Amino acid sequence: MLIALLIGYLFLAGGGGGGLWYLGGLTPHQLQKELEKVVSDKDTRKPIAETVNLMEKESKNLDSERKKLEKEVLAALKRHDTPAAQFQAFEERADSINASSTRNLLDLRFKLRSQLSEAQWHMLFPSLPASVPH
Amino acid sequence: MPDNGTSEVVMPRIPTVHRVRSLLLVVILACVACASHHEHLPPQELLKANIEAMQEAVPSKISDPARAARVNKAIDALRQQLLSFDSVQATFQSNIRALNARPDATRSEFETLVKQFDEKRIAVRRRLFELHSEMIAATTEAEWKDLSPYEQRLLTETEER
Repeated sequence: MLIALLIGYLFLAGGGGGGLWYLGGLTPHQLQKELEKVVSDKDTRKPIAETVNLMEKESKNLDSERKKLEKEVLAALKRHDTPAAQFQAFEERADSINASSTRNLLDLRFKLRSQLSEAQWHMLFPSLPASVPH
Repeated sequence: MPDNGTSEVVMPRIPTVHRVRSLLLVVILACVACASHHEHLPPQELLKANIEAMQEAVPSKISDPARAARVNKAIDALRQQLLSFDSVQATFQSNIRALNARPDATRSEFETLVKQFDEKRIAVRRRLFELHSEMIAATTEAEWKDLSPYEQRLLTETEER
């Protein structure tokens, strides 16, 4: 279960509470545990686990940025005299964080994909009934 | 308690501190039950409940009916925006998880989904600020001080994402 404040999610997508949007509801920490079941050999698993560690780091950075933004935006919304420019500045900051985080997370997703076989991938991320065209 | 002088029922005296503790316990349990009930509302119901609470507060906080109507109109529009966003984000999550599950998914497929979602998210966010500005314009500083906690609650409810 991913938990996020509505205001934070409106600013920064990418998941909340340590979860990432593409990991099927798993946090990187949970993914690490699943990985142990899928790749049993410790040495083979090591570089893969490093990729997941990087995902966890990126996810924590994003959560920390989200919390900072939430706090500042809520304080600005509370005030009666906040200038519109202040909200624009929040938007620009959020969009810049979001773009760089999306890029990094996609890099890591495709790095992880390259480290696992198709069968292992299916075990980690079982297919869902999808509305995405194949 | 006198009984024609024949007998006297002696009621056990509960020390005040115990009575206060018991009362506090009842109040705490009631609050926990209430909070827990609220937390378990589905996201859309939670949004609706918070919007309704804000709208119900408006007439008591803003004495001028014309300005109160202006604020309620903005809250109505906010409801539509947030409810539609809730459904957009649920679709996005489901689509992205399905895409991720495909080992042959390409980066451009991810980028397209993320871009489409970001466009909608940014549009809702922008509209939220416009509606917030509309409420600010229709209230005095003192009125906003009373209404602002409702907006804060609306935007800070934790939700399953």
